[in-house]
Amino acid sequence: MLHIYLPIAEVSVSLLMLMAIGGGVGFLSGLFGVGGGFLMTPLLIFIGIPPAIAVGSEANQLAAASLSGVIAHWRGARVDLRMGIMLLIGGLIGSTFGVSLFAWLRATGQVDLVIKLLYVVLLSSIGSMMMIESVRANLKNRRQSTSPDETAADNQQPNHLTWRQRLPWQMTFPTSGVTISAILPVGLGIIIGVLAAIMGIGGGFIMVPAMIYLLGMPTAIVIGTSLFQIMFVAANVTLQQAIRVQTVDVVLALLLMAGSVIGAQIGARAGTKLKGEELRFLLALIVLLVCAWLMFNLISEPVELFGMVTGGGH
Amino acid sequence: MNHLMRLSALVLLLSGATNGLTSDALPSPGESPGVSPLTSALASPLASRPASPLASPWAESTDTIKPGITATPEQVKAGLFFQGQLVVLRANAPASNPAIIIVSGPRHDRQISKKTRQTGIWLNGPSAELQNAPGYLAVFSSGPVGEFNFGDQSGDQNGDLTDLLGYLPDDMTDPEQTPTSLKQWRHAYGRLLKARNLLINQPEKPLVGQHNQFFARLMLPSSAPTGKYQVTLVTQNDSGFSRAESQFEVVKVGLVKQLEQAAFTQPVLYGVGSLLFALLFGWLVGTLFNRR
Repeated sequence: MLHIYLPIAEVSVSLLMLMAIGGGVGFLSGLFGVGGGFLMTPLLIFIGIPPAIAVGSEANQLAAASLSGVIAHWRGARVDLRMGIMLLIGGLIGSTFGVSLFAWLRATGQVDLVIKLLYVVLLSSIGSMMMIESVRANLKNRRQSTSPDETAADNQQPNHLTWRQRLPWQMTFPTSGVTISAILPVGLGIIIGVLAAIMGIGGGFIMVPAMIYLLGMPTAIVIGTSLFQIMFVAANVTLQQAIRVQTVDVVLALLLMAGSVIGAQIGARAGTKLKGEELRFLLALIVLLVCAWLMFNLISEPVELFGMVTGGGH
Repeated sequence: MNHLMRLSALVLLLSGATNGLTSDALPSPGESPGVSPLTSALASPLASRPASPLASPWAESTDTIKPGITATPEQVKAGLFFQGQLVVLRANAPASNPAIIIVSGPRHDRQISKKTRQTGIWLNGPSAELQNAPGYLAVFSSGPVGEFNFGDQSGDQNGDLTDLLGYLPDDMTDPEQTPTSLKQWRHAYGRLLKARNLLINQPEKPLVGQHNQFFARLMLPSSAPTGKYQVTLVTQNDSGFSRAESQFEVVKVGLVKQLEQAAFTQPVLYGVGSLLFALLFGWLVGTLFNRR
């Protein structure tokens, strides 16, 4: 099997394995509109890539994969540009604050624990909520034979309308077909930005359900809009990592890109063939599996109790 | 008498090492990249030698042999398809005397921590900083490392060799126990290196004496850090220790070197270039896949 020596990671890895990882995660990225960082980073670390290099290089490939996915969704008119810009404004504010928060957590020496606990809390709550809702929607659709495009927001709109409409700075987002306060997408962007900076991810797996349930956007629009925001976040992380800590391995990123951009295209096409509730059910399943794996890591005794404390990146 | 007993023990030891050489200890030339035919040729005749003191005629007049050591190749080139490299260590030393070869990779300060369980969750607990710790360590010796008590006469006045041997993990140490001394932290660090194939400790097995020459074959993994590797040979005789040194280097070459240099010397350009390349790649694929 052909191996490639990575210039920054300083390890030799299988070419095919890297492309397969990129392809698999890219498929999920295109299918669900999530960046896939929450899957890619652990997989790269598992095959021997140093964690800091895994995060930096994964961000670089994420920029490529998300742009590829955005183009696919853009052509299908499934990107809400207005909403994406609102989220991006919040994301930039949040990530700036998040970087400082991350530095403080690292100084306390427990940043790993905080990250894992945050993952578990967020993933378990989001995954459970999505799973329950998607099952309910699926059952309802079967009984009533409703339209496949019906969204979770549509199902839950009566509950959300009251408090969402009371907030100031109401804006209309024609592509998504919603009128909500600008505070909501900007606030969501800030939260995602903070989490992205602390956890080293694009934040799509949190943003997608939040956009569906909190902003009331249709699932089909959410995916393209999420990828649009992730593209900018990934680009920012790539630049920060390359300039500040030199943890971007362009050869590693290129091999991941080769697999992921193709995977993302296939995923985006597969996504159009699935109903909204089916997509949410599958994403919920993956989110809950990752959550269970993280919980297992937190409570089970590590194989090696000692570890090297490395600097740079996260 | 003492010298005679040591001689017998070492020859028995080396005969055992030779058997190991032909079986599991050393790969055949076809198994690993960069295997020196010279080493194989030199190693093979010894394989059939009987384990007897009489079988070592070269063990005479050993005190006149001047110790020396070389590493081949002197430069290990890590290119785009680098998967590790075999380095052959060749030493001149009296075959009858105990000998030890220590190879240490680039040294830096490293921080190591131990996980502890609190309220059911494993989190980072106590940590220690190890100064000047080797990024790679290999020890080949004609007997148990513990028998080599370097003194002032060994040329180890700075305690450098003793310090390096302190990183060899002690199998008797309970890994669950939190280190309470620098020695235990070093053992833990050594265990981490070993888990990553960056530490080799092979007492007795691969060191082969013949015609007052010792050989050791060192398989450097691709994860071996770049930089200079110090190779030290110490032999012991009745009058004390003799020491010889050599070194080899792991360097990046070609595209790998150019990319690394760009990343560290021009990080802004490298970052912007990486990003533009990623965006161009994503755009190209996105456009190609979505042509109507």
